[in-house]
Order: sequence, then structure tokens, then C-alpha cells
Amino acid sequence: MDILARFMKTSSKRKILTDSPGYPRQVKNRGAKVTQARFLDKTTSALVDWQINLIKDFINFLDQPAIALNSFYKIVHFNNAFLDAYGKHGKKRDQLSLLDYLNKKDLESLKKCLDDIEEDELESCQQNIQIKDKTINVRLKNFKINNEANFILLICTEFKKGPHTQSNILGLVSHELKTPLTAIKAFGQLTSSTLKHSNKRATDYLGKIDEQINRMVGLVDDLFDVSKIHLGKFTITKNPHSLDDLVKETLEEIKLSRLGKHKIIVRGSIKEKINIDKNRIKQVLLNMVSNAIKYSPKADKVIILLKRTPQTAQIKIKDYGRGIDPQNLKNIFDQFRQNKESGGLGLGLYISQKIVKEHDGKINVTSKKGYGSVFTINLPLKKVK
Amino acid sequence: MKIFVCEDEKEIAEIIKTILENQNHEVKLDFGGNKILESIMSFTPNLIILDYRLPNLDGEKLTKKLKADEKTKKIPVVIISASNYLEKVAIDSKADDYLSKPFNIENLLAIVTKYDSQ
Repeated sequence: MDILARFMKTSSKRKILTDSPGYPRQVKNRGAKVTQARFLDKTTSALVDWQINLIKDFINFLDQPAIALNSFYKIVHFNNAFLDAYGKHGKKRDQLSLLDYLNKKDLESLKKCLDDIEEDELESCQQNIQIKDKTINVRLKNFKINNEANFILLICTEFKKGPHTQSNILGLVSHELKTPLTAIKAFGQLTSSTLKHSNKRATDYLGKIDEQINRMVGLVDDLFDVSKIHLGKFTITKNPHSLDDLVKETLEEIKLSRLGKHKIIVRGSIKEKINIDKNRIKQVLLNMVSNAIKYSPKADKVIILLKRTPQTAQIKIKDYGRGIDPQNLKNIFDQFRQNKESGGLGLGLYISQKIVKEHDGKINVTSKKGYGSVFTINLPLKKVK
Repeated sequence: MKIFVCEDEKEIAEIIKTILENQNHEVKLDFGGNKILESIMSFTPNLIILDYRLPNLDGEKLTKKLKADEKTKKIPVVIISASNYLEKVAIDSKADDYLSKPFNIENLLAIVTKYDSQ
């Protein structure tokens, strides 16, 4: 997939020279007779043609199935690999539409995925969709060439079925790993309660074992979630819940986990119930707050701000730590983006972002070196009866 | 209280039994055999704790069966599993409660106490 990144970089940075293929020579030769407006029109349309041809060449060049779509999701160009894989649809070649291949839900998620990346020209996005009972990972890039032309480039990668794909193994392993952990945890706690106050040192040690088991379970859970995301099977179940209550529950869990000595201050309140997957949003909050504590060892507080904006429920988590390097800020939500000092798998923020996106929400971060970081989660407010 | 525990992992089944017997509950263990329904009927428990991944029987299906039968539908069913989607499974199968593995002993006892007082 690096090839797409490279293509996007060069095509957006490439200077358009007068001798580039497709540049309108005839416009240049007519000289003064052409009015400025017409010259501009023709230049623009020639540039559009040139860019479209570039995209078509790129599609033809790829070994994977790839297509270009117009803004109505009609397929305007495809390569042989696409025709081999999905082309036999009983329709003429020039009538193919992506709508013939997709169900409503997948189409909506593709649209959402494209909306999310619109602001950044160099970004592409990935999404898993179902085509003919197969899970296909598609990479999308929206080309806004000018106000009229809008092209979507779509490249497909099929997931191989069968028990031996990496993600399947992760899912299986993480479930099996939890079984012995359940036994270790329960035996440890039972031993601890048997000892009670008779041996304080031993119960302290058992408490530490229990904390490490929780950490291990956290890692196993993260691996499981990532395997689900890769398989396109990560789902959430939304029910009406109060964010105030959820924050309270999160703080209780943080307290039990004895992470740090920070005081966690909650400001503001969102009383109304909103549709969320309670456990998943709690997972996001736990991740955010425990990160805030972990990365501000010298600070004594973390602030949670709850605010209702006209359209969203907004949660901000602010720490007073050392902040995040600007070069790390852009990729902070990528998977396996480890912090060398603190360890861990580097999956927490990746999964958190996925959870928030599944809620149609947004998550972002601002940070100033030496002053700390602020993570902001915006969840859409839909009235719940 | 009479508690029926169905769990195929013997170590975990034994420890649940120990924890519950320490609290003076009467516990019957089952490791997920074919005759589980008969076993439940003859024990007439006040609470069923059920691993939802059993070798010979799907815990979700079993819960549905129990909840559909006049004789057993009033017995609270708590499903336990290491699955990350346990809440959804519990709702789908109409179980009364769920407990994620690994669990804290206090959480297990809290659930049992909740149904003991009902």
C-alpha cells in the first residue's frame, strides 16, 4: 500500500509544467485572442483531464482490483483485476455502479470514512466492506480536482478466509490466554483473603500479582480488539446512558487500579442520556485517564471537562505532563505506535479512536511541549426518549 | 442458596465452588456434559452460573432453552466468559446477568448476593 502514499505525495507536489502530458498547447498558441476567463476555463478543464488520466494510469498499473468512482458512486474506470474479481455482474461495463456491490450499511460507512479525510489532502482511509460474502479491505482516496470533478479512488484487498490468518489466530489466542489468567487471579485473591491481616507482606505481594494480571488482561483485550478490527468484525451495541454516571464509574475503576496519586477533577456535567456502548466508552475514558496519569508523573492532577455543545457531548481529558512531540502528534492514533519509555503495545489510542468513530464521534489531541496534552472526544447528541 | 455451576475448565469450576461454599452456599458442579438439563432439573437450583463456551453445548442456546421452559424460566442465569462481547451475548440470550473472566471474587459474590436477597 506504500505505493498509494507515494503516488499521492508525488501527484500533489508535482509542479504542472507546460510540457507535461495533456497540458493545453493549443491554448498557449492562440495568445491574445483568448480572453482571460476562457483561458482559465480551458486550463482548468485540461488540468482536470490530465489528473483524471493520471489516476486512470495508476489504476491500470495496479495488480489489485481498483476503481475510480464519480460522486454518485458510478464506476468511471476500473482495471482488469477488478473485472476479474467482481466484474461479472450481468451489467454492461459502462453501467457498473458501486451500489450494485454494496449493502446500505457499508455504503454509509464508506461515505463517513471519506468525509473524515476530506480535510487532509494527503490522507487516505481504510474500511472493511462485504462484497459477495467476502470481507474486503478497501483503501479510499477522495480527489477533489476542482468544484466540478470529484473522484474517488478505491483499491481492494481481499481477506483470506481460513483459520490461519494472523487476525484469527490473535482472536483465538487472546480468549485462551484469559482462561489461565482467570484461575491465577481467583487463586491469588482467595489466598489473599485466607491470609487477611495475618501476613501483611504476603497480601501486599499478592496485590501486586493481581495488578500485573489486570495489566496482562488489558494487553490481551487490546490484541483481541485489534484482531476484530482487522477482520472487520468490531461492533458496538448502543443503549441510553448518562455520561455523568459513566465518568463516575470510570473514576471508581481508576481508584481501584491504584495507578497514580493524581487527583482527578471533574468539571461540568452532561445529565441527559445519550446513546452509547457504555463499556466501550468507558474503555476509551479509562485509556485516556490512565494515559494522562502515566505521562504526567510529576503532576498531581488530571482534569476531566464535560460540556454539552449544541450537537455533541464533549469530554476533554487534560494532563499537566511533558506533552507530546509535534512529530509524534500526527501519528498518535496509529496502531503499534509504542512509546519507548513507557512500554505497552501501542494499541490503546488506536482502539479508542475506532470506538469513537463507531459512535460517529471524533477524537483529537492538542499538546504543547512542557505544558501537557488535551484529548477531546466529541460524541453526537441524539435525543433519547 | 442452591447454586448450579457449569464450567468446563475444572480449575475454575473448583475455585468458584470453594468461593461459594465459603459463603455457605450449596454448590453443584457440572463440566458441560450432555445431561446438563436433567442435572439442572434434579438439583432445582436458585441460581445458575454458566460458562457460555461449553464443549458440547452452546451456553447461549442453553440459556434460551432454560428461559423458554416453564419449570426453569424463573431461575436467574448468570453467564461467565472471557468473551469481549459478553454484554451483547447476555442480552441476546436473555440471561439475567454476566460476569467477565477474569473476575474479581468480590464481583462474583456481589452478583450472588443480589440474587440471594431476591
